[in-house]
Amino acid sequence: MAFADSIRKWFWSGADSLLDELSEHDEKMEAELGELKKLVRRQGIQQESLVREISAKLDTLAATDGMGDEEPESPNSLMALAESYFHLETALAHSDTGSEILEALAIIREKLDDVCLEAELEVIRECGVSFDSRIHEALDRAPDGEHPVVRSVTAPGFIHNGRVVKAARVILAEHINRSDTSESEELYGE
Amino acid sequence: MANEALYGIDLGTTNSCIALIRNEMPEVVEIEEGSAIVPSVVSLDEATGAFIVGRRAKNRLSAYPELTVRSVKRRMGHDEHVILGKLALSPEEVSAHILSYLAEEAGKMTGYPVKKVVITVPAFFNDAQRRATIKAGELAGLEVVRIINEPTAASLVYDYADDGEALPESPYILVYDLGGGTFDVSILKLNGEIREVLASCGDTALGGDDFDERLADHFARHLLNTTDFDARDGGQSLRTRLCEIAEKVKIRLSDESVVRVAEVGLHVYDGKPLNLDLEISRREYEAMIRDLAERTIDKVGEALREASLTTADIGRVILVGGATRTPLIIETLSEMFDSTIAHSIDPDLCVALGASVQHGIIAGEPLGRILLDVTAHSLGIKTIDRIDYETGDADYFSTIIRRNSRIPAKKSELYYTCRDKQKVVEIEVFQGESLSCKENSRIGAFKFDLKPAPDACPFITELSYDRDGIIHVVVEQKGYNNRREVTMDVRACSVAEEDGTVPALDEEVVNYMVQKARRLAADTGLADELRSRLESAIERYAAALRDNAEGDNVDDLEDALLELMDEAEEIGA
Repeated sequence: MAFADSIRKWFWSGADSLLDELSEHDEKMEAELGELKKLVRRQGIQQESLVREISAKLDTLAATDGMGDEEPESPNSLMALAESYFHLETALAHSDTGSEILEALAIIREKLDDVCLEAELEVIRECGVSFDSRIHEALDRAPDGEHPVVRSVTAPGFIHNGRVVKAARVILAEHINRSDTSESEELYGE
Repeated sequence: MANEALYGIDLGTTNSCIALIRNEMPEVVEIEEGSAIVPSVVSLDEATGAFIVGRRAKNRLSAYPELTVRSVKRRMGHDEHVILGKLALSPEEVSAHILSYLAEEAGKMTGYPVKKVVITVPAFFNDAQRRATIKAGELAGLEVVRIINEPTAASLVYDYADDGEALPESPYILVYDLGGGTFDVSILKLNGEIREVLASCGDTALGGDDFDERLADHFARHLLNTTDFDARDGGQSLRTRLCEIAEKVKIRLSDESVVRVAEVGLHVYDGKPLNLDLEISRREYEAMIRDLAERTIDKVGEALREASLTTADIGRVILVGGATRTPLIIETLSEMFDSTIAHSIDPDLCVALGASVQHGIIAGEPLGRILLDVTAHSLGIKTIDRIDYETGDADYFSTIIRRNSRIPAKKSELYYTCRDKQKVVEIEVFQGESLSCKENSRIGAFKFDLKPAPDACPFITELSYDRDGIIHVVVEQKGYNNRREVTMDVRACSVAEEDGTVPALDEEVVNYMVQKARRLAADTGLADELRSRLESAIERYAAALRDNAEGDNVDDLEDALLELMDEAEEIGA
């Protein structure tokens, strides 16, 4: 009898601890389920919001579709850099600058030209060529004579993808040999 | 497309533009190197006898002044001749060359020949000037369907603009037209289909070019002060360069609060290249041009008096002309008028667009709404310029991007700290139209740590807004190499750092939950009692998020909110 009691006691004590354990698990599961439920709700709302956002984006795309193929934008930063470089080189060429520096500047200019060409950007800055109102904007009166040429360039122009983005500002002269072109004495009023 | 293309032409003093109706919408035609704006300049090539028009003619202006003419519009209707070399042309004949060029090039670009057109003229043009314009059209081989006033054209195009603005109740419209060289202000009265010009006045020697001149003078003074070089000794080429720099800076100052001007090799002085390196703030620039802006405002007053109206009578103010992009102009007009300031359509193009709209109306062509990608609300930040007396908190909405600005938009403003060695500023971004932030919607906020500096230390806040509703905020403490970038999503009302990480919860003011709950609360089918409970739960939850409440508290409030949302959804279902 005592043996049976001790077995029962042992069994129940085990069951009690098992029940305690079960109830602990139950609570944990309940809490986890609660968390999961909240998470599912939150995700549901978030998903809904995303769907709305994507639809809005699609609507915007649909609304703007077919409004014309946009032309590639001009590389403004590159043009600004090339223009600054032009002014720097021109100014240094007219100041007390050693020939080595001028040589170095010419090398950098060539490299810059390569970068521009890669971006389909052509710099208009050539002197001695015939005045062309498509790519040159004259700053002064053309001399008498039928075919004025560009004596000096005071600001470079740019052609991007075949389009003249900006005409070069130029000072004109009568037809002269290219070797005669002295750059910009008018530019600095000397 | 109708059987015949419906074109409208803005035959301007400085520039002209042609537009047509395509797919029930007005659109400008880009006819010169991708530009729709064509200089109103005509030049005779003596060698070939051909007339050159537009940008090429403008490029010849200095080279061949005796063969080139500009601003011929000023001479329209006058009994005089324009001498081009050995030729004597009437102003109508010169204008006809401009019209022919526009028509031919537009026909080539669109594939639709230009036969009939509506042409715009200034409201102050008299009968002789209008007849001269019709004659110019006829000489160009065009049938002039109608001549309409420029302000009328501009107001017409806004009737079809889908900019979220309701049509004003007042029948009076003020059109403020500030171009490169001229200023015009007109007051129209809408009477059914008729738009009557009640008053029109202006200044033929005032425009955006004067703004450039003021900036160029400022640069010249800077050179004198820093190098002793007098820019007047630099001749015309230096002046041209300074004006060109000035124009670029002016355009940048429309969006940026401070611009650094860094230009090399302006001239050679004392054997050395002369550079220009300075910073200019929008405030400094505005101080330079304030008197010019006031001159236009005087004219606005004159027009109002002529029309026997007050500012309160005006239902809408429409901005025309490139120089109206200057923020000072918009601000001055906003302070003067309570009505909407319409500026969402490109001010350089809206007259031509309006002319084509008028052609569409005459032809009975159905016209759709013009889709505009503009900001629906103003965007800005909270500043201490106004205090809420109930709470003692700062409550001033400082606008950075104005409502109806074209998207993508990027603008910056300069602000100052208010304490010595201030450690932090809280950047709270709002959208709305009220001067009180409380009445606007809060998008998000973040803290910007400052480096030790005396009070009134400047910091720039820049907002960029794109088509996806993303706001990019950049804050920079000037001169301290201190900068922070944050991205906010207007639709989701979320905030993220530049690297994509999400800041702490206290910075995320409103979340998806609140958004959805607010939509549910707005449901008209909801019982008042449930709506009231829902609204109260939303506020408590949003406040807990804002105030960085304990996690458990936020969870409880969120649970309560979710339950109410379930309840509301069940009713809705």
